[in-house]
Amino acid sequence: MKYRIKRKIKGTCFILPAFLLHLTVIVLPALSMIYYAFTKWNGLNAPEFIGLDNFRRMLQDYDFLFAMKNNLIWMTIFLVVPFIMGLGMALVFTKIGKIQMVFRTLCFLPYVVSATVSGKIFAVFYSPYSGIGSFFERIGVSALADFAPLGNEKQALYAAAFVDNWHWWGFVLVLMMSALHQVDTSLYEAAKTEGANGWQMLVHVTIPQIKPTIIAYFVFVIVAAFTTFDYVWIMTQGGPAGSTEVFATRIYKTTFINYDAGYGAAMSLSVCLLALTVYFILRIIQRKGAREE
Amino acid sequence: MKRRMKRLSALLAAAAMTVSLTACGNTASTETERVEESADNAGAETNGQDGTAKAENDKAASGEQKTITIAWTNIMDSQQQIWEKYIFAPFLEKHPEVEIDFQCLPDLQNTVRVQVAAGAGPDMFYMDSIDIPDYASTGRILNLEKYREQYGLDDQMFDWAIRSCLYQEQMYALPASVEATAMTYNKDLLDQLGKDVPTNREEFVAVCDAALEAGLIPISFGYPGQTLLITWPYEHYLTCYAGGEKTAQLLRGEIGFDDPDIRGAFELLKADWDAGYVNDKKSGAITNDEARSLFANQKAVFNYEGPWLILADGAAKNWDFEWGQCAWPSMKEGVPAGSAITLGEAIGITANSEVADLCVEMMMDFYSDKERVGKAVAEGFSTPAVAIGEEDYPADMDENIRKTLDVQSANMELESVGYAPWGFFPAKTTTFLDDNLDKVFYDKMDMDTFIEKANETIAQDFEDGYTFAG
Repeated sequence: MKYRIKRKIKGTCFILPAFLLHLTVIVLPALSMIYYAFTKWNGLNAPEFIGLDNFRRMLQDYDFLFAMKNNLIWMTIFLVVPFIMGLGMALVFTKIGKIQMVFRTLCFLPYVVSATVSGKIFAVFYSPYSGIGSFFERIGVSALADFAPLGNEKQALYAAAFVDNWHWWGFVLVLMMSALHQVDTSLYEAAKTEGANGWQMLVHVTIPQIKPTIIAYFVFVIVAAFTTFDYVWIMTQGGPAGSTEVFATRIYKTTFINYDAGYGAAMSLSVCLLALTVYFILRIIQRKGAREE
Repeated sequence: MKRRMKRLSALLAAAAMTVSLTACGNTASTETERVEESADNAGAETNGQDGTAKAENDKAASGEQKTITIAWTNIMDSQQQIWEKYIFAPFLEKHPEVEIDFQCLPDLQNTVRVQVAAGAGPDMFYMDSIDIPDYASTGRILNLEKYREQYGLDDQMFDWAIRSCLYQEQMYALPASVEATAMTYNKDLLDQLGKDVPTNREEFVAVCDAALEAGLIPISFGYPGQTLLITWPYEHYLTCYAGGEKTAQLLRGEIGFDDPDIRGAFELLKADWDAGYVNDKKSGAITNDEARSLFANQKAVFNYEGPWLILADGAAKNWDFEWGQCAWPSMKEGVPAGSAITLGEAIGITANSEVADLCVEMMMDFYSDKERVGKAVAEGFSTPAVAIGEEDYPADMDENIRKTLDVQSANMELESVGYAPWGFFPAKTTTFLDDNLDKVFYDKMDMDTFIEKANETIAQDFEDGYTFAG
């Protein structure tokens, strides 16, 4: 008994410094955000308590609601495109023997390039005067000479998402490949003996076997989609005409450019709650699925 | 033995972490004490007891080293060298006990705001005059009334520049630089198009149409990542369509954005955007650097930028064509060609700075030495808010700079002077206009909604205590 208590105290002592640090740097500022969400505060003055005014304002804030729509589009793109690309290529690469290392490395390379660098490079590619558009103009493809997606309010979000996807899908590929390596090969042999074709093996063997990885990927993407910031900020800062505004850029602008920190805190809190809600819904579905299995 | 060693190293690691945390705590408490102490000093000063100055003198007498921390925007090396040569070096010679820590920060406003809010921050820092109310109303920057009298600032500096630094009739910042907006043009391209420098709407439209027909960009302009640059176009239209007086009435609250002249200025800008005059409607796809490069490479006839393009940024050094600057052409009959004046930069001094006297002394030593100011400006330093005579400039001054300064002086004397938003407009309204005007360009917001919301925003600014400094 004494030994156990001693052990617990010792353990607590070891974890205490890190816990205190986390409490001071993460937990307390996060909790203070809850308070500021109910105040009118410009970051310099004494916060004035205004109840739910910030939240009422949010419901009528076209830019915020538009950002929500963009976040949902962003999330849909990242739930589908890199997943299909990553899984598809992983299935191909696992079949091609040792040479797959070369392809895997090539596909993974963009992931090691920082968001700032790739964002800036692609912004140049997208420029109407120095990028792809001017290249097409030079080679006489006049239909694409005006290609300047970052200046087009209907294309800008997809153009930014493309770059993020270019950066991200190599990681998904590696993730899926490592999951595929875990699948017991005897299951494929058994399926083959039963006369299953490639598609049936994918649907009935591969996907169920790598399901935990797929679910973890979906959860990660959903949460990350709510906080996406880097590519949009580097390439468009939410423009043109607010067409690429996402939660994070809206919150940043509100807090650090418009200095409406109270409202910014209210938006942050709402996004946190939204992300948590989605996360818990997914967890419930996941558990339910596991129980049914 | 091995186990003991393990235990010992674990204990040592834990002790090191604890000590580092304790050290953090100590730093924090020291900081708090410093802030409290400074607040006491600031309080003493408000009560008319020159506590800080006395403490400084005592320290100076005892030969104690002091550091002035300055936070400025991310200016080019050549600009930093001008600060060093003409402001710091002479001051350090006079005050050998002083050290200067000059930090040029890429995200200055946010960094300083967070630091100042935490009770820390630099001793003096760059600020836009529209931010003065936020800092002044919360007591974060020093009231400079004492220095205004001591150095006779009203006699030395432009009165409108001083007014731009007032909050509730009290001076809270030092005017650092002034500018008068201008139209930059490529004379070679104008000649090529067979046109003269436009002075009115008709001529302006003729040049723009001819440029488009010749495959040129009428006005180069890019703003992604810097929506505040949208102030450049709408300032020109307000000044040259609505006129300076109407703009002043708007900023005094006598008329709203729905006034036919004010609204008309925005409508005309939108029409010019639709016509492709503003960078062929591609401004949302290119950065300001690219827009500059288009102008530099003779792809555009005009550029929205004013004197700073030539002075602080030295852009003309790389232009191999004949260029010029002038007032923006009249956009409506009865409203003359015009230029907007504004305070380019202001200097705030943090309320708890222990070297406030030294900060003001350093800047005023510079501003009152016309020869030094003349030399600094001749090397590209932004023009301070003091009158500089022709005799103050060196004879061998760079021709590009001389040309720009001549135009700026002429523009400041024009019959119609406007008010640039970044120096005169209220903060919330400026932010609203900057954030939403491109929605009008892209037809994502109609003009009625834009005008209505602009009216609501400026009403809010008036409610918050905004007063026009013009």
